[in-house]
Amino acid sequence: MSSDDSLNLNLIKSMIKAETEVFIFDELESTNQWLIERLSGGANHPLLCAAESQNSGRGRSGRVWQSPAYCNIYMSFCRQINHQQKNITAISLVMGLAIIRVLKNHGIAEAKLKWPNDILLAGKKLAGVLIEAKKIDGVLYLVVGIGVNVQMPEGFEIDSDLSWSDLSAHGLLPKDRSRMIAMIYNECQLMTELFIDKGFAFFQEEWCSVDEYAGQEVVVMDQDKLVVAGVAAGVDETGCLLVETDTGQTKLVSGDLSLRKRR
Amino acid sequence: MDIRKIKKLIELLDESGVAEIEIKEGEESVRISRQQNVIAAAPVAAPAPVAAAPVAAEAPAAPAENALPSGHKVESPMVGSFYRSSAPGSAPFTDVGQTVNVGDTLCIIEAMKILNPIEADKAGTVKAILVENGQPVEFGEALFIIE
Repeated sequence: MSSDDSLNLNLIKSMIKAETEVFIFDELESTNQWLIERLSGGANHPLLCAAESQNSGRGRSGRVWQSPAYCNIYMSFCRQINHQQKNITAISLVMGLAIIRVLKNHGIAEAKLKWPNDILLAGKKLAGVLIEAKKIDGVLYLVVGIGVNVQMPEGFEIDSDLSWSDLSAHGLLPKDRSRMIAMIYNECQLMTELFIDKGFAFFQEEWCSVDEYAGQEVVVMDQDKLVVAGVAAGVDETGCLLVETDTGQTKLVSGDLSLRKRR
Repeated sequence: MDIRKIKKLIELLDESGVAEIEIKEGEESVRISRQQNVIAAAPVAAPAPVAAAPVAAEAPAAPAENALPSGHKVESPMVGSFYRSSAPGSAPFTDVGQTVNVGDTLCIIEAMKILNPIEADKAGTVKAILVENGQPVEFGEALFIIE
């Protein structure tokens, strides 16, 4: 790795709104964890942090987000939420859509979403979002963690039912990470404002247009337990996953979606 | 299946002392079980858009409320899945009989990959845990009793 490849604090700062405090680390346990601790310590500015590597990057159900050093994006930012806000959970889908938009701006038009917010390229996992809520002194914050595979080490194996993909085949390299972090942050801010103003219904059609599994036979599991099996039918206006079964349509707010394996 | 009919069935179950009943009506079936306080059975999912996970929404409230032990109720602030630990197989955040302080994490409610830790808003002893690990919960559903 040349020094030009490492994350560039000044470049990120120059591309985003001035009031955001930006922090870059060589190594963190988890960018979400650092940000939650920072908030608990009384920070009240908009915060953005990124790390060259994570020792225990987080996924759903306590899973690990593999985070090799100097090659990918691991970033977190936070957002204060008004308690009166209805159906706030769909912000999770909107964050995935924000990453899709940034990829499109880089000429990568074939990236798709797997509910609620995994980003797939050719059916393989490219990026993921995990949001953690934290209440501090009665104020609710959402901490949004994003991981994007930019250039995975060759032969790297991830602990997932999906194998990984990265952006290197599309001409994006570790030296481009700082610029991408700023662009993802800006797009997420913009779309959060739109979401809070207009609700998920505003994004429903766009989300469904990049739905990897629509019309396919899927299963939804929750910690090794089958929740439902059927045909994926997109999402509704609140961001719920829709699955058609023999007995009608099921709506879900939670669970791990995957393609049904053919026997 | 009509939601009023399901309510009737729950009342019937509540009065009878029977642990579980299952009713089939044509294609639809519903199973009501006392232990779990939810209407289970995947194929139910009423054609009317009920909230959340594939479980009929409004039903569990009635019998559960009556059966609750006294004490401070900790309720779910959102629709989602209820988890007692941060990862499958790891130790639960709390258990019946344990003392908790204000701000201690009791469980996580997850929806659309948003993890929402639910904290104790009252110090005391956990008297009851009303939801099974991994079960869907509704907005306002009682999760814990603290006394």
